[in-house]
Amino acid sequence: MKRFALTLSGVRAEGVLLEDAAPACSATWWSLLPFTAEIRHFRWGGAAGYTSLPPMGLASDSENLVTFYPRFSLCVRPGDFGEVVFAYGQAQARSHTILAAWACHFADIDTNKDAFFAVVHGTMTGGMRVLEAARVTEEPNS
Amino acid sequence: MPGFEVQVGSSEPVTVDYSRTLSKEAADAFAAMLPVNTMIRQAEWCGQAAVASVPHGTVREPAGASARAASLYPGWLVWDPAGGVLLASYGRAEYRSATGVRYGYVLGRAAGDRQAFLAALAALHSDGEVALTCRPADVDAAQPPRGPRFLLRRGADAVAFEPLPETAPESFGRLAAQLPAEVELAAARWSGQVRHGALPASLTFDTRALEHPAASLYPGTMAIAPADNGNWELLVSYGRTELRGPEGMAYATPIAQTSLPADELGKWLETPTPISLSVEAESPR
Repeated sequence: MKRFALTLSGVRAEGVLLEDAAPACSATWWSLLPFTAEIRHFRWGGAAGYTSLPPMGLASDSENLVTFYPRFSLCVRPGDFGEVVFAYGQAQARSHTILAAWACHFADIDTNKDAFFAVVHGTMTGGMRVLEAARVTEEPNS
Repeated sequence: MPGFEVQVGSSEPVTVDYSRTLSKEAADAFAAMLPVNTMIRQAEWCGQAAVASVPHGTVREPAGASARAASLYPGWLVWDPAGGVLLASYGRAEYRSATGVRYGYVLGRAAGDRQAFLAALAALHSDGEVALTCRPADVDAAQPPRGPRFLLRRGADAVAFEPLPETAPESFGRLAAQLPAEVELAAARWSGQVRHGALPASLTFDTRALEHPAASLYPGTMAIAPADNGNWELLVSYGRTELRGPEGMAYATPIAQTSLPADELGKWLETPTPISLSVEAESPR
């Protein structure tokens, strides 16, 4: 089980990759760690923040697809932009001419969720925040 | 002319006159609500648009009328009195919520330093919310910009369309460079008060991607869209228009707009004869 840490405006949370359901997206995310990125609030899809990681968008277009983003999840929209989504509430994969698109659900945040996603929510009125992402542990699958 | 002044944060105020509102009743109700001091931020469902909470209102339209639109054109102000929100777009945008498309009243288009206004709206996405002030003002009627404009001509009669550079920064020039063209406009079957016709097959845009796709064509708007056969078509709205096909909403790029009243434009377009579309180098003052 691969675990990673996200720190946003000083608030740290940890997450776990869904390697069985989304092996390619999980492997790509793992290969990118550590990195720093800018998180902004969603413009089309509701209660979520996002960042652009182009390699993530090219990892797979068919793994563990969802149109509604699960709360406290990490998902990625297939495509060159590599839109990685941090959903804190009601949110959906959308664009200007598409009301229901698809995204790969590849990780869940499982520690300090409320505090971390409160900062994501804060980008709605507070603007951009800097995200730091890093590996935590790599444990054998049980 | 009655209108209002809009100030986003510390940016230069712009003015909006009500001459292009889709609903006089909505403009009157909005004017009665002013002044408004609130906050404006990036919208979460609407694309490249900013949203502000304003007092709820009631618009009493004539029975059977509905003058609302879903598409948000850059630099235009849209009010949803039932939802208590004011929207201002700075790019590709449509009024939506979690459950889908919503509709608001188009109040008018910002005049003055529109580029600075759009930049102030765009900055909200990275910089966060700022104060918004709307106050009543007597404003000068917006003057048509100097520069090329389109002419629809039938014999000696012509209707001029001024460019909408914020919705079609590339498309306007690409189309203008390939004119004149002859077009036969027919009534649309799915989309309301709009006429459409095929542009010549020789006319190309080097892309099938639309700039600023819009489903709502405000009255008097000229637009272009790819047709099913791979060519392009011209659309001219003379009233309430939402572009639709048998499988749902469709989209076009608004490229120009006439100040001719919608009912007069509708009558002018009724005559089923070919119309020449040309470009005039510079609009007169």
